[in-house]
Amino acid sequence: MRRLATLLAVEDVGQLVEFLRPADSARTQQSALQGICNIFEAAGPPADELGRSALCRRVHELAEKCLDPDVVASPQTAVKGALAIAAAVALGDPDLEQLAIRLSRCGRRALERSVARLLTQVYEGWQRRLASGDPFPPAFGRLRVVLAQLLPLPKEKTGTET
Amino acid sequence: MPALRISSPTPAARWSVIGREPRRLFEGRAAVVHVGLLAEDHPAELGGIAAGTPVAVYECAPPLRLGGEAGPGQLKAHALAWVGDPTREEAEGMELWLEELRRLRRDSPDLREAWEDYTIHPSDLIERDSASGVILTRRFSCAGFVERCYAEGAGIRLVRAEALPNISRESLQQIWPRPDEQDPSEFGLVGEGPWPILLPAHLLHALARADARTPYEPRPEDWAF
Repeated sequence: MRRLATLLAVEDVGQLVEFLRPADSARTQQSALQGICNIFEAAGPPADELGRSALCRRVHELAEKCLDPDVVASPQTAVKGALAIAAAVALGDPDLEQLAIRLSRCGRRALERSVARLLTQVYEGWQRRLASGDPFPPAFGRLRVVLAQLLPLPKEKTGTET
Repeated sequence: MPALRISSPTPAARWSVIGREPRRLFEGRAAVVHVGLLAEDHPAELGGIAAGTPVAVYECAPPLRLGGEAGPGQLKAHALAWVGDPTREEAEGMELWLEELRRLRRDSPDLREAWEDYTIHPSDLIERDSASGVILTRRFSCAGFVERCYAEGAGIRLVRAEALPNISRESLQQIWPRPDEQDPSEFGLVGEGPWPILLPAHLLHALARADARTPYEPRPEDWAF
């Protein structure tokens, strides 16, 4: 699955919904969500229609479930929730604001920091690919709004780049 | 002063910084040669931690030992330091950071040499795919691993990375002896030095202050604790 995610073209990303079924292990789901983030971090903001795809709806659903305050207590669930939000952003989820509100209602600053780290990676990837003067894709605008809500958090150096 | 050399059994909480001393002194002082993060509580009722006792830690030995299915590492405890009364949010942040790192390791290439997890200078490195820019893996020194867990996980910057004192190659070899066959340049030690390197003892000095939540500027003599 990990290898598939590295080989998939953007137009085939919908196949990853097969690894986000309820029967799939948390580890498989995490790898699929990370794969979605990686694909779009490298490719740039998605086309609008992807936000209405079955994959995006499933990712949104997973994020909602993981961000339920009753289940988000375990670190594995929290990391999956953070990845699901990042994947929703990467897919251009039009209902991203609902997830942001849900995240905020969890009241868990550590989780917000984790989401901010993942979103910053996607944001930086998209920035690298958007040339100045390019039209502003809606998905990029939504990402900026969510990041602006999270980044009043102390901005941390995240390591030295090679 | 939440940093001490362990002389008698001492209670310690998870996420405390554990330091190991070398077998012999250098310039009459005991350097700290390795640090890790305590992986479980050692309450007073269970005897705490005695000097030289092996304890379970999260560490970059190398390799990275992050707990989870692979289990934690083990480190002989000679020094102990902690942030006075870490908040629930800080502890949770470190737990999440560690879980993120475990996930990153699972998704990175399977066949890795232990030394591929390691860097000395700088003390942490992010490696990206050259084409896509996607993060492939992270490398740390033992001190860099602990420092980043506190900084990125808990939001506590223990040390001012821009203000590290220089250390010579000779002094560094006393603290971190490496096998002859290892090329120091693989770990960032290019040229003859000196280099501004984050040392294990810097973290203990940082935590030894009343306000450990503000970044510490290590002094040249802080290679020992």
